[in-house]
Amino acid sequence: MRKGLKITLTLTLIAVLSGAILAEVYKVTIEDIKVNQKKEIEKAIFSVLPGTKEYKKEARGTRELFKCFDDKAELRGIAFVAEGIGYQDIIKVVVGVDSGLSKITGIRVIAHNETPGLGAKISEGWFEEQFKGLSAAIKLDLVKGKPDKENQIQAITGATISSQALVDIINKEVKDIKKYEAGNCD
Amino acid sequence: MRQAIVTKTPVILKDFTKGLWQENPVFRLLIGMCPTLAVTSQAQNGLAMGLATSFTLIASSIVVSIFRKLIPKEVRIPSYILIIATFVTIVSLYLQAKFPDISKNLGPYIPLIIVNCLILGRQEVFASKNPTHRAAADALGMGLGFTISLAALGMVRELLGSGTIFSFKVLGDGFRPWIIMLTPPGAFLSLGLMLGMINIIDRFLKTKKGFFPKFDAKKGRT
Repeated sequence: MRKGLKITLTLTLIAVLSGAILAEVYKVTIEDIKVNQKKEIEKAIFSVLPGTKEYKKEARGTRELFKCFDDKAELRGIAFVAEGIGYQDIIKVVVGVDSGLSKITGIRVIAHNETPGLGAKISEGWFEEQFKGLSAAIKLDLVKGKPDKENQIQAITGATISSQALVDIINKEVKDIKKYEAGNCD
Repeated sequence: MRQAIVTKTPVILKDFTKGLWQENPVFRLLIGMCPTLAVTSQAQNGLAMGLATSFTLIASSIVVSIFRKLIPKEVRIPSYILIIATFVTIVSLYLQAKFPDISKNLGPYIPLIIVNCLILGRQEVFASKNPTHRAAADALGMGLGFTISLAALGMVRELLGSGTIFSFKVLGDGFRPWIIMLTPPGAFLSLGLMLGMINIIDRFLKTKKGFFPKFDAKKGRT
């Protein structure tokens, strides 16, 4: 009986101490973590819509979009967070479209869990760069090798599934945002 | 001869150095293989994982060693795991706050440090049976050995798989990356080849008979 008590007390004590320490560490770090997450989205917004001076958050259904304005307070375009399933986890990407919703101005992958060294390359500059200036009016197409037609994206060697997932996510969300904005104007 | 050298070295130094070569966790003991294979597609990730694991190992070993006489042996494993999990969570929060890029790269492998058998193994084999200064030396050596091994494996895989080391371009444009090196089979291949190499070097150091001793039918390989 005394043995049982000692065991219970030891485990309880360790758990309580551990909880207390972690609560303190969490309090110290959570501010930085939140700032990092916000910074990440903010940085992405400015990079997908170059020339943005200010942005305004707007609710879009249950989600949100960012109306971006330049230094003359004119609407430059809309940025939004698109997300969907990748090869093994959700991919989150910030997409920028111009004010007429006709062109993609840029994309920036902010969260993913693709295979390091392969699918993870979707967040590399050269891959994201390909989306810049493509038409938002027609679907994007993924090809292996050099693109030779309009609106084609070159897949990452050895990571076609991740590349395809990103293209699909962007196609779908661009369509959604166009539908939403159209509905909004009526 | 070798025995004589060993006895002359102070015990605490031996606790430290054994993790670097003789009992290197990755190449000699072959423990902690999950992160070893999973995150070493890039040298930087290998190094970061090594350091995160080392911090957890050193901190846990010190705490376990201090309280080794108070923890009832029936619940020692749950106690160690609680202590280890606490430090892993601290590492995870710290990386998210200060190094968000590395935290993003390592993803789920940071929380998985909790179940790295290298850490639990050192608590069971060493920290729970030895005074704190020796436990700390042991953890430091094992952690350093683990970190160096992961960084080395990461460098080999990154060089062959992407032509870079620590993201610096090493091989020219003419080099066609071996994609397989970045995938799990590539991890096994490079680990196996490096293990073989280390075995050859180790045999050389032990026998001083050369890297490839002649086969003696009567005695077998020495």
